[in-house]
Amino acid sequence: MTDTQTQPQHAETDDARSDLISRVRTILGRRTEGRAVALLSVVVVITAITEPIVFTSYEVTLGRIALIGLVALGLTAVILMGELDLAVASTLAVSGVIMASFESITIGILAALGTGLLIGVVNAFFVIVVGINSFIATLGMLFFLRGAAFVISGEAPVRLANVDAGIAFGRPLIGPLSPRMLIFIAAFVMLHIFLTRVRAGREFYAVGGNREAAHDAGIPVTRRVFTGFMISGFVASLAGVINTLERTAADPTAGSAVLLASFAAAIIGGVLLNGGRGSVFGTLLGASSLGLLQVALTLSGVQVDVQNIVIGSVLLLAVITDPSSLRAAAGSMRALVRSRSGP
Amino acid sequence: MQMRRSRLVGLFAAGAMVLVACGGAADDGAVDSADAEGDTTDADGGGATDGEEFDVFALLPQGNDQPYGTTYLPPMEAKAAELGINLTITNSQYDADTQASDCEVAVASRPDLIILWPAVGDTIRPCLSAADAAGIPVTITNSDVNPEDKDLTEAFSGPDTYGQGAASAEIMCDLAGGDEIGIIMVNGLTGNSTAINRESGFEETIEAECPNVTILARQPGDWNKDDSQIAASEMITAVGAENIDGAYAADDTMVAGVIDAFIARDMDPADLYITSIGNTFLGNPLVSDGSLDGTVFQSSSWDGENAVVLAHEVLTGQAVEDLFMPSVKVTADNADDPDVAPEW
Amino acid sequence: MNVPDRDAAVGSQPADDRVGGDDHPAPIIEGRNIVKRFGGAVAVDDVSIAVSPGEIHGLLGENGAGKSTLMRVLAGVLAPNEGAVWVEGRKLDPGDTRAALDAGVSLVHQELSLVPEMTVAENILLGSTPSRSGFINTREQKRIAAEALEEIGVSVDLDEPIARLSVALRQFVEIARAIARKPQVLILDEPTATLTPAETTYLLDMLQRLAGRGLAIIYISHRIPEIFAICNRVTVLRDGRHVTTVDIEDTTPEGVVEFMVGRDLQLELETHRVDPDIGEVVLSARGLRAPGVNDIDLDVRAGEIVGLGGLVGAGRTELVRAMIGADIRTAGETTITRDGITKRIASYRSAVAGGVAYIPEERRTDGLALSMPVVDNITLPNRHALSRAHVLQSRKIVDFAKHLAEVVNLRPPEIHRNVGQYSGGNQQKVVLAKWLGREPEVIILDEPTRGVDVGAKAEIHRLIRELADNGAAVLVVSSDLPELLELSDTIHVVRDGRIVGTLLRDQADETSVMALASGQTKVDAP
Repeated sequence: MTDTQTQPQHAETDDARSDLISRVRTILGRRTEGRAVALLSVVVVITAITEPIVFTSYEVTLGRIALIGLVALGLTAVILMGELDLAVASTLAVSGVIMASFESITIGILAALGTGLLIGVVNAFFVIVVGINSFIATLGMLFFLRGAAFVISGEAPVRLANVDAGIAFGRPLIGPLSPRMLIFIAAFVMLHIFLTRVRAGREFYAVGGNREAAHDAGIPVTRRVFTGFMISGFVASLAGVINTLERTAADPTAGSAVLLASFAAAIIGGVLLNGGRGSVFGTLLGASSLGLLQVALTLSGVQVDVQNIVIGSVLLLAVITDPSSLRAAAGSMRALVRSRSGP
Repeated sequence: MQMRRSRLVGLFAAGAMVLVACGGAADDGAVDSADAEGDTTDADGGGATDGEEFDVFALLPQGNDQPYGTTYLPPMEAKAAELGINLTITNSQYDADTQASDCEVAVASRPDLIILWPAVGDTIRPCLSAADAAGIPVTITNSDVNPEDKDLTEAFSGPDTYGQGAASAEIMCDLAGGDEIGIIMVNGLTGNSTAINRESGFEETIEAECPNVTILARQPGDWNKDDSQIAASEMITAVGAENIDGAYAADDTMVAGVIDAFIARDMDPADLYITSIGNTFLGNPLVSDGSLDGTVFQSSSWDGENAVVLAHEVLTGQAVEDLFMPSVKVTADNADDPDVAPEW
Repeated sequence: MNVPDRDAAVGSQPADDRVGGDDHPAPIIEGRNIVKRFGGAVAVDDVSIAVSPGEIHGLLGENGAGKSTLMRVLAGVLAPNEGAVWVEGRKLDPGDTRAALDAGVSLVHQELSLVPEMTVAENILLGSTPSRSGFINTREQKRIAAEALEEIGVSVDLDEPIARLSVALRQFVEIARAIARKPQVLILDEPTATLTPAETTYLLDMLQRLAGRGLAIIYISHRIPEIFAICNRVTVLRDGRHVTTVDIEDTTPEGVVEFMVGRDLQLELETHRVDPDIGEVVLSARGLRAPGVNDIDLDVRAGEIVGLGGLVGAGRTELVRAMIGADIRTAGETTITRDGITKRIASYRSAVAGGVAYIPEERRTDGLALSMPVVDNITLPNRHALSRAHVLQSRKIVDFAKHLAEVVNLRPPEIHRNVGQYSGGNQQKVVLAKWLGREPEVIILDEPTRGVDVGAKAEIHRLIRELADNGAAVLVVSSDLPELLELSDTIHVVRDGRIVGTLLRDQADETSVMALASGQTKVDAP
């Protein structure tokens, strides 16, 4: 190991064939989505055998994936910077209620999306300017917004003024794809490009991977964190708008299932909660696995409690198969074995 | 080396996944094969040997995670088995988005009928129109849909929430026996249809049958004991304890809060006229010990069973009307009868 | 602008610092009368330094002499309290990293400042990623990164994430990153600390090549042979003050050490333990193996101070932690002998129960509860002795803590103050007081005076000696050579997880320890 590094200029002398193999291996080794791919393949194979309807009526499955995944995509931007946004579900609820409170759908949508951005700004302000741990800051925001959603809605669902517009929104627009799926796909493509091709987005990884180094290198860390939280808030409010349109009413209690599902999707997708590692592609895979699993389990009539157990197990599997967790586990296993075999 | 290890664990993980899924598959294998049978019989135009088999999705907002659902499900499943209905039950845990998604799944799997218990009544119309578009009949259980959505459903089975309020009012009228009395009223969550119906059922019956009973004050108790106790306590202060002869609360949980509020003010609930709705494990003993004068039985087992009965009637082409749970009054006289043994 | 200021600064420069002024071209970077304080402690006290293009300027000093702080000021990472940095005759805004970078000052950090999950190319251009209307210009990014790597003669896959590189390669990527900014001044802070001798040689050659192209290089190192191998001039700091700046031809390694150590040398002679009373073996390891530790046999006797020398990353910390069961071992065993009874140390708990006190390197995380008062910190491990039937006796606790605070000379001796409010040196005293209270049989100290000011350092040394004089077996890990030489009765030098040499006090000097630690008698001079 050390020899090649001291004479690094002589390193590349492999022949072409093994070079190709090693290159493929290197590329695979660099990706963070490996576990998500493995999980998705397993889920696809099993559901294809047991519940083929999951694929024949794929628009339903896609709808479920979009439902889980949209918020998770925005969340990924924040997690990549090593921060958490627990307020996403409440942001979804409050922006839905705000939207439904307006007579005009257009104004309602704009107000809701503006609310999402504002919530992101406030979250970022507490986290990066005031310096509160993001878990605590956004937990506070979670409760604040949930309360706000109840107060604004008068503690009851708010119906859209134009119910027919909502029902029309839920219908397929292009082929079998409903507007929700199209928005989801658009959000994925945009975030993917932002985080891989755009300088500001790519610098999210630096902020999450080594914040001090990012700062020393002249990256505007504060601005990046603000951007991240605003993305997360905006996407959550977008999900709120979509849900409200599709349901024709805004429920102040909405989003109870969203928070955990979106975190689960990101974690299964290989996004490291400490920041710096992961991708929206991974999150997409995670959301797809979860969506498929949920639809398949629902179709086969598995009780929701059992579904939760399955999803929890998958989440734990995803976490414990993380290479760094594995290393730690292997270490303690060795220690355990040794202490057993000792005198 | 590290690579190899992680790959091994990956394999292990996959194996574990397969195991988990197999457990699930074994569990639903019965449903699957039944599905297949159902499909063939349908295709053959009903060539089944004894009676017809139907596939039905039941979209519920609760299940074994709530006391009501726990006693609602077994009679429902038993009745379904008896009538040859293959039930697939979902539980959205009162999340409108989850139920909407469950509804999409249900519609996609083309059942013969969908039984729906709306999680949030206002958000259910898209689900109903989707089912309608797919030609799948929908029956409603437990909580009826909004009036404007009624035409998209076949029928409703469940408690007659208006009638429950009326029955509770009748108990109150009997208790008053013509005397001029004043009572306080604790209602359910504002805007909730059950709360609205029970309130108007109670109030309109009082006005019609015993105008000698006056509702001195009313407040929402939000279906929970603490809020109800606070609301009652505020009303006692506002109205004056000496003016209050009784109370009505829209369910047993809230009436327990009202009783506690009275006790806290040194008012003996046994001397007051108190009625509610539910006859639950909480309310029934209160009737027996005299602090609650009367309640109205809401039977979760009736509810579950008749959801399937109604569905079967629709499926077999019988003319159907809304099926209401009888509002059985429970007072000290019959509180210990096995007929009205509390279920939840 | 600011011309009068500049003149004043030049005027105040002591004449004797300008050695051979005529031999050197005009300096490209100058720090003038820099003062940097952290809280009450003065880290850099009125230091001036000037470096010319093509020059490799060595910066020497003991740990805590203020070298790193001075360099961080020069690179604009820290704003000085007084004085200013001038590059090419223009004054830099204090503490503006960006401005320093733009002016061509690049700092290669001591702590690796790379982003582990990003690629080599991305890291080399971190903060200055080439982009067109926001989108990253990947081709340009790779071109510049490849160019920088080529300039230092290192070949790495540009798409490899840093996390998958060895420590040495990361160090080279750090340097490539500095080079990619087209600097005029390159500052390296102990770049060889984690490198093998061969890698070190490679790095030194590279630096000379870069200097040959007109780059001004400031090179910080503990390793005097390296300084003599490549530097043209050398500046010595001591206790945050400027001691001297000399041309390398005009001095010798011994001369430089004298400058570095200064009056401490006197102190050392006075305080050396004379004829220590060394008893039986108390702590003993046989055939010890652990990750980073290879087959170690080690004995520490009662009343003896054993020093573990070596380079950073040689495996000393791993060794002591494995010895006392704080980390896992793969083979071998450790025993502790007390009153003639020998017991195996199976776990850290049993080590502590057997009378071992371990004071880890990161005292902030491992040793102290910063948000708790001194009294609680001191008495935390001693609660058992101070409680009767599990009821703590608060009076006794306070007296006990006061006594210990006096013994370690805590200043100010306010035992109800939170530990976090004390300076590093005083915090270390609290750690010592905490363990002194147990009267340990064995005390193990890992870098006991890192980041501690000179005065506190002397007191900590006094305490360590007292512990040994009272019969404790003491094991000290230190990268601070003078400290190691001053304290230890026996020095074991560790390299690559092995003990490569054992020196008694009379045989040991800086050169002999360094030679063993680096695995070579001398770094090849050009």
